[in-house]
Amino acid sequence: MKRVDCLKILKELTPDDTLVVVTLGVTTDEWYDLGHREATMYLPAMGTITPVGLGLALALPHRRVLALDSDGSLLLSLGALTVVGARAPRNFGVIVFDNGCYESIGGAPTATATGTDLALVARGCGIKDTATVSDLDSFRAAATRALHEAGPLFVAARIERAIAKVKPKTTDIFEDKYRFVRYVERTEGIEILSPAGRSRRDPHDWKSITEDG
Amino acid sequence: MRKDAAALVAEGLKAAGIETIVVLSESWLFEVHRLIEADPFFTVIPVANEGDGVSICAGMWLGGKRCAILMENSGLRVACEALARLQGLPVLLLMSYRGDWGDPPWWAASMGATTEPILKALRIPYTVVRRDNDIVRKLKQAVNSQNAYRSHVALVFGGELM
Repeated sequence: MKRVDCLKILKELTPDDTLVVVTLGVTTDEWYDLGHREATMYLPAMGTITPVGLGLALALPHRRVLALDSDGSLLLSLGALTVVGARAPRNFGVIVFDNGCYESIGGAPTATATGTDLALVARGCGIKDTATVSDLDSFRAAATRALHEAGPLFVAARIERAIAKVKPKTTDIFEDKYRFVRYVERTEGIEILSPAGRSRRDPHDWKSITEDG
Repeated sequence: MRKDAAALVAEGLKAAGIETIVVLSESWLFEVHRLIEADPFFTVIPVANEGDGVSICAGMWLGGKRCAILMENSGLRVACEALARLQGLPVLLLMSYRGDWGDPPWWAASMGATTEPILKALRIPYTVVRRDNDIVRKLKQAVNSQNAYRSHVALVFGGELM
């Protein structure tokens, strides 16, 4: 099972208003290449994807949030799963693409290549609903649950080493942030970035000062 | 922290509209943790690692929820990578100043020595709170600064409040 084929299925299944947080490296490029979604936040920050997704899910409990993480990234912040287990947000799903290696930087093995079972770790952290999938039909079924059923659901997707030939994404975290935040503001009817000039003076102030003076 | 100072921190958090507090409990800020845990105004999210806590706060900011992380200043060192990588997703850091002038334990000395240099290296605007009268005002200002700078900001609670 290749990650890019999983991402194609996800792209097809994911409703436009589902907030997706995407891990770094080639996963970012492959997801971006399938077509930009406004509701995607790209995080070029190893170890932050699942906890940032969790924070987003806790902030917006009425919105579905999906974290697309990777084994190398999640292994850097395994403790975040304890918080997912403890808070158990029903609107949150985590899909980890597990190829047993740090693929984007040359393929050195991760701990999942030597026995670490991420779904078992997630269960041990209190996440009751977990699955490990290794074929596309099972992936489709698990992804459908992650997108539509009460969570949290943790899915370990065992994939082969394979990088699709796609162009690298050219936007940085700032551009991605502004696009994502403006989308959330618009669809939620809230203000996240405070505006400038809230306390502008009355343009007649100067005249009144000179008249007084 | 003294109980009267801790009560002012809780009051300041309310005045600043900060309902959600991510916490890794520690000795100097234990009284604040105890107060907010008992107050239904607050949602308290305990974490086991300050780096994860910072990431959770960044995610909450993306969703428009005002929050802060409460931790020991040693947690700043743990959270460095998340803070550096998630620049632009502003997180409000509230931390004790272990190793401040007069703090007895030898193990706190390195915390005191590294806190401000790390905040400067990470380009995180910060202020050290040393007087009870400043607590509420500086908490409210911290939210303004977080919004204005579009950046992480930090309040460091000094030894005078303990």
